[in-house]
Order: sequence, then structure tokens, then C-alpha cells
Amino acid sequence: MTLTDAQIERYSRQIIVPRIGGLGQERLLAARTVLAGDARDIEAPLAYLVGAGVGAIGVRVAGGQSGLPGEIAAARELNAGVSVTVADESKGRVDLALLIVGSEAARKAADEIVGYREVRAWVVARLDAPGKIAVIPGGAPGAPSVDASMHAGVGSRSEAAEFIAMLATAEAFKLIAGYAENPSPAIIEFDGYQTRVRVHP
Amino acid sequence: MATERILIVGLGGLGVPALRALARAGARRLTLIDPDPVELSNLARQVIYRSRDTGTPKVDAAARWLVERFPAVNVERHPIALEASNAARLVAVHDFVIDATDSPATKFLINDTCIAAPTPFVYGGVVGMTGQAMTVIPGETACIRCVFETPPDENETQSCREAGIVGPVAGAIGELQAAEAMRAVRRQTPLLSGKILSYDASGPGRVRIAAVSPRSGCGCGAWKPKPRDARGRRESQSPGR
Repeated sequence: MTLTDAQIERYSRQIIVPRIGGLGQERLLAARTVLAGDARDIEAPLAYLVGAGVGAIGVRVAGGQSGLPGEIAAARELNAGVSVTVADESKGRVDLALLIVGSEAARKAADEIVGYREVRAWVVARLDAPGKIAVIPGGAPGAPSVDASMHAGVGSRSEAAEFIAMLATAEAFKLIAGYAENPSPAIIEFDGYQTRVRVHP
Repeated sequence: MATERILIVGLGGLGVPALRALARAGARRLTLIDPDPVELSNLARQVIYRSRDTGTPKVDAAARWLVERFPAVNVERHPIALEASNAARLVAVHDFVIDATDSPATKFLINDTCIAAPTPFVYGGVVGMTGQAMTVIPGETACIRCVFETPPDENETQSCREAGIVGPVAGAIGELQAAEAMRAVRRQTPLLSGKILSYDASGPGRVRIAAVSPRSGCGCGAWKPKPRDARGRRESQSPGR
């Protein structure tokens, strides 16, 4: 894929970030992703993935809706070059799944995605206190079970929930763009807004 | 809450997520100030603007987005730059200010104007894969001049135009600024008053919060001499960051 002049201008501010470049933007544009969670928790992450030019985004909204609620479907207006559809495993490989778990319904929706066979990389965010993000690059063994607590019942919401969701989106962006040469699985644990990072070599 | 007025200075990578989060959290009176029109290169990270908004003043495009989704929000628009000639008048009629600019000179103008008003504000900055935020309660907590003393030369600082910027990194800081504003207008203590948060996304997301002490030579009024100890000596204050 070669970037057009319009794409270079549109994505120029992220293209010039060291270690993203044109190649990272091409990866973003070619990526097939899945995003799952409650509508209120995935609205902002979806907007940023769409804005960044992530090529195809399948969305699984928690709570059993068959289509996309209006505020989620509205993300399509942000970038005509991005496809936003209902998540569908039959569409084949998924380069990255971003799972935002802020409720029991969201945990169930995430579990459905975990059942997909062809997912290469995962970012799983827990928005219940104290908050946690699992970053699981492609090829990591046992994905997405690098930390068993990521599958536990959902407790009370962290005061930093929206911040955690946005950090998870940044981690997803980096994995899709190939920002780090050989990323390791990592768990980002929150204490309020502060983080402690455990890297699994 | 319905009467509290929040001023957002800058509607770019920080101001947009702050505005989205404020509207979602129930803010009802927002004032937007930004002199620039929407450009194509904004769309990747300023995720309320659409292609058809290019060329439109950001304050108009943002107000339209707000009115469509949050009709109860009262929006005031200023398609101008915040300058010494208008800053005091604008800040004086607001309960909280969000510094979402990328100009060091404007950041110091916001600091000085809010200290004089006095109006609490939250500083935010983001470039490349890093971001910072800090809330200033005038006369109580360290201000921007306590930390940096004077604005750097424009050629000493990297702007987003030169160093780049990643949407979700700016989004995280903007979300945080909105949360600080909401705490303040709800009469809660902002989490980052007297503290600076640093977010480094160049590795797995590292977020640190460090206390910032008022500087004795700063004119902001937050520094207070410590009482003398039993031997008549003053307890030393830790230096600013």
C-alpha cells in the first residue's frame, strides 16, 4: 500500500512520530481490528481508532444489541477511509482485539471475542478499581490469558476508568502501527492514575 | 453544576477530548476559544471534526458537534487567540480554565491571568508519545512559574508540528483535564492540585505523579514560610520540580 498525498497530509502528525513513520501508517490503514465493551466506554476509543486510520473495525457492543447504537455508528462520519461494522468472526483474521471491560455485560462481550480463532494481538483493559491493562503482542503464548485476574468478576468502577480506556487505546495503536520492534507482553497495573508495569519476557 | 462556567483555551489535541469528556460528565456551560480553522492534519486526533469541517473555525465546528449531541450544553464561542488584551476579561467570568494550548507563551499567560483572577486551572501538554498535566489552585498550590520560572524560547521547544503527536496520548491527557475541571466545579479537591502527572507512552504506558512545591521566589503567593522548629530553625521546603 502506498500512501496518497491526502493520506500523508491527514495523518502527518502521527507519521512524523519516531518509530511510526509511513510504514506504521500503512499498517494502521491495512489493519483489521475488533473493539468490544459497553457503548459509553468504547465511544472515545473507537473515535481515536477511526481518526488514526485503522482500516477495519468490527465493534461488539455489550448488552446484546444486534446493530450499532447511534453514538457508535456516528464514528463513521469521522473518516470515510475506515470501515466500522458489527464484529463478525466469519470475516477472518483480526490483527488486534481491544477489549474494554467495565461491566459484567462487557466481560461477556469480551469473552465472545476471546473465542475468536484468528486474533494476532490483544489489549484488554479492566476499568474496575484499581484498573489494569494487559498488552499481548502477536505471537505471545497463551493469549489473552497472560494474567488470570483479567477474567475475574467486575468490581466497582475505577475513578480513572476513562483514562485507563484511553491508555489501552494508545497501547493498541502502538501494537497495530508496529511502534516497538519486538514488544513483550506486559501488564499495566493502576494505583489511581499512576501505573506499575510488569513486562513478561 | 448547571451554573459553573468552564473555559477551554485551545480546541486541538487536548481541547477536543476535554470537551467531549466534559459534555459527557454533565458540564452545562462551556466557553471555547481558538483562533484556528479545522485543517486536514487535525482530523487524525481531534476526533469531533469531519472532513467537511475543514476551513471552518474550530470553535464553530466544536459548538455544532456539542449542540447536536448535548443540546442542554450552553456554548459560548470566541474564534480569537487568548492574548494579554482579552485574557483577564475572559478568565474573570469563569469558574475553571482548561489550558489546552500548545504555545508556551499562552500557557504562561493563562497561568498569570488565573493567578491574578484568582481562578483554578489545569495545565496540559503533549508532544510525541508523552504528556503532562497539573492543576493550579491560585495562592494554595504551585503554579507553572514555580516549576518552569520563565517561558522557554519558542525555538527551544518542540511543537506537535515538529515532533508529532498520537491521538490517544493527547486523548488521555485531555480526559484527565476534564476530570480535574469536574472535580473543581463539584467542590472536590482536584487530584492534581500541587502535583504533576507525567505519561510516557514510548514504552508500556508509564504514568507518574510527583508533588510540586511552591517556589519561594515565585510571586504566585502559594509559598508560605515553614514555622520554626524547636531550635528556632525554619524547616526547609523541598524545591520545585
